[in-house]
Amino acid sequence: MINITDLEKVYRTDTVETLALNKMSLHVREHEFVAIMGPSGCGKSTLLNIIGMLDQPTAGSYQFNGIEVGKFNENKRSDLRKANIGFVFQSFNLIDELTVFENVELPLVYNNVKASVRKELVEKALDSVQMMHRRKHFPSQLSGGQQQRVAVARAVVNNSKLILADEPPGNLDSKNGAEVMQLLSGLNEAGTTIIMVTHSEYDARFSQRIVHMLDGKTVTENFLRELAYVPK
Amino acid sequence: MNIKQSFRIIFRNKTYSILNIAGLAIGIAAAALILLWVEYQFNFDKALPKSDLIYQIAQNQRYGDKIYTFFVAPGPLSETLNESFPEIKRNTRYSSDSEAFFTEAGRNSSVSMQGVYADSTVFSMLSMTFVEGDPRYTFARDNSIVISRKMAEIFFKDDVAVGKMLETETGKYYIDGVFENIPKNTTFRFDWIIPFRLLEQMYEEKGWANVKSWTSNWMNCFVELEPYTNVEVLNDKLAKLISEKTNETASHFTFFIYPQRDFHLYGEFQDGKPTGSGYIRTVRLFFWIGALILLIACVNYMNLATARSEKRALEVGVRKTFGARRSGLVWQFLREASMITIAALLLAIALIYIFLPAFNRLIFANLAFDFTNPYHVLGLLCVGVLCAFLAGNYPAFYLSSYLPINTLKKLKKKGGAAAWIRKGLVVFQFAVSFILICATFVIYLQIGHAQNRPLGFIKENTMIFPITEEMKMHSETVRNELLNTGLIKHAGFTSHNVIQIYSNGGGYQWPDKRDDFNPLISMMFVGPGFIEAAGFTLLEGASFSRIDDADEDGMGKIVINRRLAEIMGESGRVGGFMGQGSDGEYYWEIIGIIDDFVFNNMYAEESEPLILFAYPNHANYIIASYEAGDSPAEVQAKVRNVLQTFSPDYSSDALFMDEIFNNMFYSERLIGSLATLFAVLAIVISCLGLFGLSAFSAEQRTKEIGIRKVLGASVSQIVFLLGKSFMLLTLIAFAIAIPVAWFVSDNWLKSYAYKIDLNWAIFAGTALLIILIVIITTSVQSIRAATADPVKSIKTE
Repeated sequence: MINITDLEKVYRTDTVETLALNKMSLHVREHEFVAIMGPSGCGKSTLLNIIGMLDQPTAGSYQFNGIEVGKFNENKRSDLRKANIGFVFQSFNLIDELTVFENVELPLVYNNVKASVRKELVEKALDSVQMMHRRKHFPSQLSGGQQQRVAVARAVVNNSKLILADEPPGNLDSKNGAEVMQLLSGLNEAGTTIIMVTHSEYDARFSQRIVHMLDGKTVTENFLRELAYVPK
Repeated sequence: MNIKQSFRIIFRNKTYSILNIAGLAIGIAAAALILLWVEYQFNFDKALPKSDLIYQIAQNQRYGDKIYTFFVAPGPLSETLNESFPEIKRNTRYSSDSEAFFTEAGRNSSVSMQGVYADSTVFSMLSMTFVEGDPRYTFARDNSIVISRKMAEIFFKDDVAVGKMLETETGKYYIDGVFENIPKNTTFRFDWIIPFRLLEQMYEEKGWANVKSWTSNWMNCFVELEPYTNVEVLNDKLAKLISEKTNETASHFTFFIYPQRDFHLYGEFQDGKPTGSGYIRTVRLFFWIGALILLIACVNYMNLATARSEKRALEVGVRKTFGARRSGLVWQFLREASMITIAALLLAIALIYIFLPAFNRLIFANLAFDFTNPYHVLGLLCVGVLCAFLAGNYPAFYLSSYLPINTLKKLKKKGGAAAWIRKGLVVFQFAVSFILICATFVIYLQIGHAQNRPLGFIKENTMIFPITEEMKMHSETVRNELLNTGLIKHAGFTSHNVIQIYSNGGGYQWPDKRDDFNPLISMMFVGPGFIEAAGFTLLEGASFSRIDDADEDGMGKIVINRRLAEIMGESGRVGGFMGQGSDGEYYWEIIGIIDDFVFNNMYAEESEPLILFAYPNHANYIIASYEAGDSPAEVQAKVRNVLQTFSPDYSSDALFMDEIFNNMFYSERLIGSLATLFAVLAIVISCLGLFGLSAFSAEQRTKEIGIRKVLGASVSQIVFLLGKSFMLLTLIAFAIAIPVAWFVSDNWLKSYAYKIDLNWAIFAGTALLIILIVIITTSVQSIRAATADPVKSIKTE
């Protein structure tokens, strides 16, 4: 699904040039659950942003489903992203002014899904994270764990093939964190590819492969288990 | 993103939305009021169906090397136009507006109504519709009158008015017809019309003017052209008319016609030619001030929207992450701006309705906002769309440009361009406010300066009464009776009210006068006691003492002012002689010279030359002065009692000289009132914006303030820290505004000869006032931020 070869990302300011990714290569198969670990500043989030097409690489190749996307403009990236990728952030990133239902509905709106279909899909997604009873609430009325479950529902509502998760339990207590990880595992078992950035060994163990990064490139890879997804 | 969500965003950010809506609403309401006023001015005299064909007769009169333009006409003109000018369909002779007290025959109470003397051609020229009577059959008899529906309702309620009789001082009149009320924004304002020939008879009988002369101008004349008329050709013909009629090769007088629809706005003439300007200057000025106020209100929206951008950045990031395109976000923000604008429009409409009556009182007008008038509705909509576009555009493009990666990582977008633009806009707002406030000060200082100047007459404790024929016939007795009351110090008959002397003429002669020198000289006709009652200073010679001063030795007696004495040189002395016309005879003797006094133009540096004739038969008023301590009401009642012994129905109120004087500042006061209003609005709207900005600034710096407090900063240091940046912007605004304000004020003052000197105190005063307002506005937020618990502040991040 994802083929990254010799990827480089350089951040420039007036005085400093930082090499965030240094000839990074990574290949992710469909249905795989990959955890990316490493110390702060090693380039994990940069990698995730480029995979999520929120950012562009400075050099190297990034193929998504066989298409070279590294040089796509913003609109093309946006189209590809909204059709294929869901995001779960450490700080949830729900829009304060929208209800739970409207937050989850957002990706469907931007994919021009009809309103009647949207309602069905949003309810299904909220059901799957047990948040249906809170659909009319605003984010500020929910606990952190509940907010992150809503964020997960938003990531999956569009039936995204790939979910990018940036330390999803990072802002949660251990119980809520474990619940969110269970949710992600369940999604992966159902076939969704997941790439997760984390500092937590415990969370990483939910994945099938752990990629350790240092100074913008892979240093080790540990295969934990075979794919969880079993095609029906 | 649907409308419901936009609504929610507006509702959940109450302070922000209220500041925005209030600012925009005030701006829109102010602009709308100004546009209503501008519309009123632009439509002046244009609502008449034949407005394109109606012209007024004007005359250029040359005196020395100066050409004066007057809108006046001599008696024989009307008939000549009828006979020899086929391109003029009709003309009407027309008096200036006059006020008369009418009584319904058989009743006692009289009502004062404004009206004119005119020919019956005026009905057709002005396309007047009659609700009673038939215009074709009016004015057949001399003592006819037609009245407005308003006047008919005052006197006869719902009864038929035609055939009934109204009585006024000049006689009894039968009502021939009732015409529909005349719209207010026209020169032709009257509630009654009496046949002009009656006025002509009056002038002739009383010798007020030579009604057969081509050089005695005592009336107005309006003409309606045939549609095919070439105005230039007609004007060429008219220019030669007086020379032909008076058999002079080159008359000092030339006629021309001037379009009535241009008279109100473009009525200024110089050297006999229209300058293309006039009242339009004031109208334009206020149009632009209205536009500036609207712009200031839009600037508020832009500033508040971009200042709040960090709050919206995350939303933009999330939306973009999940597939929103920039164009979609631009529309979202434009929609929000539109909704705020719609709310502001609705509030503005309410404000217009609430404040229109007060605004009307302020500017002495009768404007109305009319929802059935497509121009009003369309105009308001245009203002709304313009606001939504102006206010919403920049924030929409700015906010939608956020990159999701930065916002999601909580990277602050560098203030950069937006912060600079925001600062620039604040500077703009305060510069405009400074200029408006400063201009307001200058206007009022100038009015005060002219009002407090040495006038050369006494305006306090002096009243003027209109007089009747009976009083004129017994002028000396009237005067003595008044003096006998013991309340009146001095009294005298006069043709003019001292301040407004609109009679003038040329052709005066005196020994040693250069032949080519022909100044325009103002004239008054007065009786004994007048000079004392008016409070003039007699420099040399004597005042008029007896009614027969004119007849004693066949030589009339005159008093001249100092200016005329200077112009006359050697001949301008007590004992000197004057005459008029080319007969070389002198028939007036100068018996006194009075000091110059201010009349007609309250801002003139030097007085116009003036002759006082001892001829109370031409008087229209009696002027009376009384002791400072006496009650004006008591004096007025006493005087009226005396006057009623000569004319039992007499009921006129006194005109107080100081009121007449104050009325001379009408146009400056109007400009002053409007300037005050808009200066206040500009500063209020700017402060609404500043209040919002200071709130956001304090919020943004919460953590910084917390850290500073932990490290020992005092509340006052924090308040100073937060206020400093706004104060700096205000100072920059001053630096820009002071030269502009200086230029604008100096330019405005140029049209006045007697004027204030611009000095630094005006500018310093304005600056201090604004600084005070800025400190009050920003310190509310700063103090709140500075006194917040630092532990909480640090935790929030």
